[in-house]
Amino acid sequence: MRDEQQVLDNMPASLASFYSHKIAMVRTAIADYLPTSIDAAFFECVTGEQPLYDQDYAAMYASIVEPTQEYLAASGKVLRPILAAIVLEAYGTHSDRMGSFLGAIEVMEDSSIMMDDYIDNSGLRRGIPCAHIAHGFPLANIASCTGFALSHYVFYRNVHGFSESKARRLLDAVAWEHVQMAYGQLEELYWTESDVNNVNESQYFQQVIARCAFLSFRGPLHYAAIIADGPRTDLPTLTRLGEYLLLGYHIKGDDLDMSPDSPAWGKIAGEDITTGRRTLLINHTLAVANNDDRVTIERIIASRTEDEEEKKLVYNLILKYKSFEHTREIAVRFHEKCYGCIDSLQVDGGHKTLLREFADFAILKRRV
Amino acid sequence: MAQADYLVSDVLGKGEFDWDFRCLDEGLMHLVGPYMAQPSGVTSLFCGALDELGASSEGNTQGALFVEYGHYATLINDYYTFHPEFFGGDISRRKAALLTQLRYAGQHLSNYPRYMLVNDSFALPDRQQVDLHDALSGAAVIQGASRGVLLAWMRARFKSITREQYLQNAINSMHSYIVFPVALALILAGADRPAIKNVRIALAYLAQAMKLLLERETLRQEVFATLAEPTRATLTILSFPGLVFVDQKRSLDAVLENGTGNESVYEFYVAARDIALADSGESARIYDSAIGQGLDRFEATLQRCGILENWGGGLANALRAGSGA
Repeated sequence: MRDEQQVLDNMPASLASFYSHKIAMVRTAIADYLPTSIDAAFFECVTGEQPLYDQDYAAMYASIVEPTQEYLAASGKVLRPILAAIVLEAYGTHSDRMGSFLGAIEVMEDSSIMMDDYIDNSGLRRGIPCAHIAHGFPLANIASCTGFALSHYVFYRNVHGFSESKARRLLDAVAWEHVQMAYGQLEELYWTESDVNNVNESQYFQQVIARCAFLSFRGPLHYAAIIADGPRTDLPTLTRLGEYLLLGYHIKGDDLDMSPDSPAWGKIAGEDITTGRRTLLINHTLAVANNDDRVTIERIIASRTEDEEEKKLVYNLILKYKSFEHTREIAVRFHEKCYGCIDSLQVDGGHKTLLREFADFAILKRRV
Repeated sequence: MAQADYLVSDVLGKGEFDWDFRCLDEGLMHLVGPYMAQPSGVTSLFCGALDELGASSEGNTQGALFVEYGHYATLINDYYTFHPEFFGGDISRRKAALLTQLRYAGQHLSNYPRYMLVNDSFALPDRQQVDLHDALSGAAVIQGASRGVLLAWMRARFKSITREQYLQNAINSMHSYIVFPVALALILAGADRPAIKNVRIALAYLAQAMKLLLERETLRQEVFATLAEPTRATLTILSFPGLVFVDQKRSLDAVLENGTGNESVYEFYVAARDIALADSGESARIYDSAIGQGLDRFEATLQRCGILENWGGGLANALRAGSGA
């Protein structure tokens, strides 16, 4: 478990207070969402299927739940459930009564980063070996996609007992996010595997939104607003807010991958180069570099190298062309857009402050 | 309408920034094409059930997209999960990346049809729409659980598995091919929840019979080893003859004694075939009995439900006639 005080120390005051007040409840909700063993009742609950015979529940648990539990135990900052809790309360719903929903959001996060890890063939996550390293690609694939499906049982089994109309709105919203996510994944993997070197910034932003906004942060904002019966006129604004928050946060994450500012990052520096990812940093450098430097970057990125000297060469070219400065400016622009969205939401001043501080923390202050 | 235009207008929406549709050929169709070229046949269950339920085929044929695309997505996911290079030690970064790209092209096939739910294409009342989401999500969990259990059994070299556990995992393995298509037809036709639940029990018996039938035919004809890729790999889970390990387990360790401990499903397949061929009379008896039991219970359960009886009876008889069960 990461040092909670360290997280709080980096947070603006109101957000830190909210976080301190809610974090124990949120962590309990996360721990309670997935069982510590599977039995017939849980299986029937999450599948709607009545087994005809006894099953090997121990093998089932070990293969579809345990790897996600390992990620949950390594515990991140749980920002997404906290954001969802802010929105629930902003629209008048006590977040403590929506524990399963908040727990589900973090299970969604951890099962999907397990996917990201084997997609990127990463080595470490939060300081522990990634699931495909610990258990092999086949089990990481099965555990992550099934864990991800399980993270949604709060919606499709209507755990909180919402009206059918609300349950449907939530499920339709989830389905929309899944369509977007799968297409964004296609785009990114195509760029990577086909070594596409002419991705413009607009295409990059749309891809990031499509691939990641289901979780960071559009999805949780949407779901919380629907659950809390927030005004429908706020939904388009929440959509944009979630997307701008994501873009600022993601751009900062790409920068951190190249130049982590803390050993607690728990990942290997320059992994995006080894994976062949066309991040905003890389795309910007490719766009503005002279021909020789561009050829050098393209060669190294295409080689999928793990060589530190080669990665440093790319890093130095990124510095040379001031790409860090460029991406930081963009992140700041998205941060400003977040403020614009927050100002127009129909929520009270206190919750607007919390949302602004969340944007500050997620974008401007993102460290680990 | 061009594919990209359709994606914007009906599927993805416009977005604030620019979509890149260059991935559609090289990053999607080129990859999934070989899998989609195989005839699936799974939609016939869906359409047959719809016909008997008297549901409008016009308004419901789009539902076949869930079944058909889900089928191809499952094939590709199985191809990925059980790819032999993942079991033989270190896989190259490049090979893993290419397989992963294929796997997520398959994921797009699985997620893509959900745009019809978002667009309210079936004009369903809330309850049916919720049930449809439920059936799709539950199927994803069952599918993953069945593959996960098989992986765990492979690691444990199929030791200490009971017959009941094997049969239930066989049912789960076939869920997206047998149970889900008919459950989908029932939802679209407006069947009530208790009726759907009862029919799903009957369909589980059908799934049992179908899985074992595939196993038996695979052993009998030895087609598995002669199939070309990717067909061979994609049929691995459906036809993997694991019942042999449960009911004739005596010789598994002897067959695998020279194994590396990293056996892929193909090595286990060969072991199962060798065990079955060593006593083919006993193998045939085991399979015939279990298939016949599954079909009988499928038919009897459907009759008790009072729904889809003609469709089920015809299907069971056709399978009996074709299989000798």
